[in-house]
Amino acid sequence: MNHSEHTRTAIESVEQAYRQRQAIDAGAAWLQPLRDRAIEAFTRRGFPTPRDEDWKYTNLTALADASGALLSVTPSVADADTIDELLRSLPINAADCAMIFVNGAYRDDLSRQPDAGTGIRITTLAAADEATRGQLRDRLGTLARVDEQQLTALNTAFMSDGLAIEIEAHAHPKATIHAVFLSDQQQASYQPRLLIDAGEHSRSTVIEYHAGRQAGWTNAVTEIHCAAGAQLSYVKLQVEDDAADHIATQQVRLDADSRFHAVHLDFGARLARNDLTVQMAGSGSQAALYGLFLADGKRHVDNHTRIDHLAVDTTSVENYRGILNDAARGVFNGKIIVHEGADRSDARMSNRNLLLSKTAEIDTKPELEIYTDDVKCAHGATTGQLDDNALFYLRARGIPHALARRMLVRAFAREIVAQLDEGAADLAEYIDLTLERRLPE
Amino acid sequence: MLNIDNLHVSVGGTEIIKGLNLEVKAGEVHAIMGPNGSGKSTLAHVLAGRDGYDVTDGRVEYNGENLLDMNPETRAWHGLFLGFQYPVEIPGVNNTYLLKAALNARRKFNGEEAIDAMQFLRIVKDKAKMMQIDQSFLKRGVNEGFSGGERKRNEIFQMAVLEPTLAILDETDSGLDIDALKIVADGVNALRSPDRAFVLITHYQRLLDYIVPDHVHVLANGCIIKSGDKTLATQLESRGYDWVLAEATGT
Repeated sequence: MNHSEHTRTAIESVEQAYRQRQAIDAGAAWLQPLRDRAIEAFTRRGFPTPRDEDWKYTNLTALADASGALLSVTPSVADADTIDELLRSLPINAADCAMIFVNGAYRDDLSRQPDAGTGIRITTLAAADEATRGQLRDRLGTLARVDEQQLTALNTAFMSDGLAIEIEAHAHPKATIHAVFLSDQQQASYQPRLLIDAGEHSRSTVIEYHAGRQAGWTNAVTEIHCAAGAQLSYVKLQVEDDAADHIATQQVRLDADSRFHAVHLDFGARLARNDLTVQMAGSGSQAALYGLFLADGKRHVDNHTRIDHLAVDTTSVENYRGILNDAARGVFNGKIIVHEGADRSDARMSNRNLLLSKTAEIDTKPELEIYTDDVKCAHGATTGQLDDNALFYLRARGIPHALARRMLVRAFAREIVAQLDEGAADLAEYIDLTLERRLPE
Repeated sequence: MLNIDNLHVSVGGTEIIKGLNLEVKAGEVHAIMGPNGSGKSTLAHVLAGRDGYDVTDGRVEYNGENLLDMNPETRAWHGLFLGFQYPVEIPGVNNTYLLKAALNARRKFNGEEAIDAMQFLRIVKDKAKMMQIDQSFLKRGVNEGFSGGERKRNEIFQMAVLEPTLAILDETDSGLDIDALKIVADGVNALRSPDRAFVLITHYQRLLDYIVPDHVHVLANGCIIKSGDKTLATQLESRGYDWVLAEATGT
């Protein structure tokens, strides 16, 4: 088959899976018009191919070929012990609010709703009441770009449930909000959808988790809106099974004087791809994007970020660090666009990568596009190995070689770990342990 | 304790050490002096086990064992310590954590239990005080933001905590003002004991005013060309190296 035949076949099998799904029961019937529009958008272009500049290094051909079959599978009941073990492996404070999805379905029995009076309102899409549906209908897809991003269209076409989190204006909930997506199925696909609305002058922390056992395929979409003056700390932790595929898109819009602080942590999956887009639409808004990714074996991890400075006095800081071992492959593409009129914008971007083996690879590409004069921009990317001098110094003090390597890798990751705010502090130790587990003796 | 016999070392095909002999007994302090490029730092690095040095001939015995067969950490577990000429900065690796991990690795090697946390903190506090190292330094990354002099003091502080059997101090005196030099010397003198030996590699005699050596050797062109007692250092200070070199070549 040539490229276009591949594309055609994949589109047909996705369409077929879509019809089949509708015939059984797609869930949350009120989402149907959105889904119909989305499948139409998807079929216009199909899956991205390596000929798309944004997908040059991440090849979805195998996934596209399998997509029809994966999308046709009706999620089954999860194994209780596996899910229990997965949940306990995650650093979720028992007192916090945690909304848990298993194999695509919301699990009330495992979840903990927010306490009353904390200013947090959470609804699942499937259980939304009539009034909420109206609001959500207006909100869903206003940030996510169904017409431009094929995987967002696919998520929208196949979404059966999802989570809408709203932080009321001026609310400062103490508890962290955990949105947890777990899976344990061998041949299945999940299309999690998450909406986060941070109300005016609210202050909150939301952590999105994706963890799984077995080789499933997750295609997640998260839409985040920070209203004027809102402060949102958002963390995404991806610890999928090493045989799983994970694709995630986050669309963020920042209104005036809001502050968005994100930490992306990628430690699992055979193929992981993140697309984070931040639109700095309001003057004085601030974005801080941090990322830490680790891949070993033959795993592939790709982080694409895009920051649009659309208004005056906007500030963005970005710092991603990658650790690659064995024959793993990493990709970082950070794009900053300072649009006309976005005067006094300040953008700084840095990507540093650590290659722990001769066969590990990274493709890094920071990009700046500037359409105004009055800006401050800086960007840089470096790739290197562990510092031999530091390694010898530690060993000369009596630190065994393997431990010395781990200490230096952890030190490399520390700059990102240090960015976790108070609400996500439990993750620091979790990351240390994950790095330790991933870097064997 | 340390027996170096006819040691030949090459770096990238160039012979740097050319048949060096040295015997260090327990309780002794040896000073190795010599002009720049004579092979002093190469000797220190070879003894500590750094990669990139080819030992082409000779033997190094340490307490009866073949030192050259051991990797750097095993040498440390056997009680060898190298004080670096240029201590490296390692942001993100905590000073105290490094010392605890180093101590415990050696204890494990010796079949001992991990050190008691309170006991460890007490040792660290005492030794830091002795080396006039501010407590806040202990919480920082290894040598992170330290001045040259602070790094050297930190080397001796680490040595004091790790209590090695044989310490090789590579130009620990360079870049120190007189006050820092005294602190470093006091730290070394406090550790002198009948079961411990020191090899001081230095360019200048002034360190030896404060740490009085038992033996002084002149290393030039990869060999020890003259050995003597502490008076040799004073002679070198006043007359330079030329006369020793001339004597050695018989001109």
